[in-house]
Amino acid sequence: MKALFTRNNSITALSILIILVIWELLARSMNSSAILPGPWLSFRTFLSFWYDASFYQALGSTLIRGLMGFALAFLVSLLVGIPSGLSPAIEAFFAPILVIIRSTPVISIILLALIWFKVEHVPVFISFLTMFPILTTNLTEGIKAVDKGIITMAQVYNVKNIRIIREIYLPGLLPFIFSGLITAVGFGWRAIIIGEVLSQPRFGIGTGMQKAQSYLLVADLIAWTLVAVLIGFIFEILIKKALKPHTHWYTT
Amino acid sequence: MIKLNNISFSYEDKKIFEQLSLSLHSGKINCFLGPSGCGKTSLLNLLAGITKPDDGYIDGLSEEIPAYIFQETRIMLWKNVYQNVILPLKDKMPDEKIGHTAEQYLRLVNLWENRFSYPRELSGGMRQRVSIARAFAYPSTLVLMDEAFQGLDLLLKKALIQAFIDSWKFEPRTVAFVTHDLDEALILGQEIFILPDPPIREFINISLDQEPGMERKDMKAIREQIIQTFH
Repeated sequence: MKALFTRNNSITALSILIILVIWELLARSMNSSAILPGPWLSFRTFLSFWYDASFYQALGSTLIRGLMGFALAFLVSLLVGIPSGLSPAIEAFFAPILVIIRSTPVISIILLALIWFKVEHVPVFISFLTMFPILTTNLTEGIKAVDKGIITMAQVYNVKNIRIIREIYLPGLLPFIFSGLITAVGFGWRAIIIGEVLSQPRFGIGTGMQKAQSYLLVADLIAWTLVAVLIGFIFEILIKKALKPHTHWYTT
Repeated sequence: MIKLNNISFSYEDKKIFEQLSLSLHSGKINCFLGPSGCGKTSLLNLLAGITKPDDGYIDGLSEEIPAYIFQETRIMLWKNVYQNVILPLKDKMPDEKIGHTAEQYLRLVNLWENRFSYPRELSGGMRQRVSIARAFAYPSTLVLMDEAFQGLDLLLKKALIQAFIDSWKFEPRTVAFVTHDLDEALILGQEIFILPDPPIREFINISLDQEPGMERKDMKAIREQIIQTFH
């Protein structure tokens, strides 16, 4: 761990402080915590969540949906991304599908998914569709970037195919998987929550947000948002912790 | 013994070999000397089985186990020195023998102290020594080497050539070594094949009945003889 207050860290702290001050000033000028509660009230609401059993149900449900969507997207991206990287024909075949998924507005997909799927499955489906193209493209690019000279070397030295995959392709891919994961998971959590707001499953962060909004509980709405931000932040750190040590050799 | 019989080969519409026949001398350092771009790498790729001749056939290749020291080293950036050397040894010998063999050759090329270093921490010469150790630690019978000493300053080059000679003497095998540098050929070559510009149909073969090394005798006459052939 580096020193906590490096130059950049203090600038970051200053920036956060300014945001909080502006928020506080705005809240005071509105003079109504029902319209815009100040940072302190929002934070207290956020803390109070953790004393409420149903909050954990919501949190747990959203987390499980996120992990399911992520696992699904990751698996399918392996099945599509790796062959696409190896064969231009396969890449050309999947290209239009990826373009369509990427350029379709999320809201259209949600509205259709609401018709097609059970409410519980809508957020999973949405997050899958959000993460899948990002992960696939990164994998395809990663496979294409693997040095063919190294593969030829391994073949001359009669290295088994399974080792070529495990010891050459996989480590070469990790930096690409890493950056793909960071981006995909960032979008994925937001997609899950949008899906929950619109599909209204029994428990979920999005469901909580929707309820807070309909009862005009603005402090709750902001507190739910803090929860969502926290989840995204924690997952980004987890991914970095898990994969960074394996990509240290990589310098662009 | 490896014997090329009436080999024809083109690379990117350029005829490289035309009905070329040539025998490698077993257990010797066979040096192919010729101008850049004359298709020397093509010869090594044929011997490594990376490419196939358009016509003709190569005898004796199936009995050989090739190792290749590439011009661009081709070492893996995500593996340290030791891991780079042992990758080709895996599944081919028991674990303790892998460790022992890797150590032997890493010591020969003077990299044992650096075995945990990653390629980006190494100089160009050190990387090429990893590649040499990898080729010799591998239970190869035929070592192919492509301009491996290029682009290095004289001192580094000398150290690298010495590392190569030490590794080879430790366990001699057939070597096919291509270069455009006459001095390298005169230090290493036991059989020197002088190749013309492509398409290559024939060549001049000079045999030196001497061990490879920096202090060979009567090299002046041989140097003159080779320079004569270029005119």
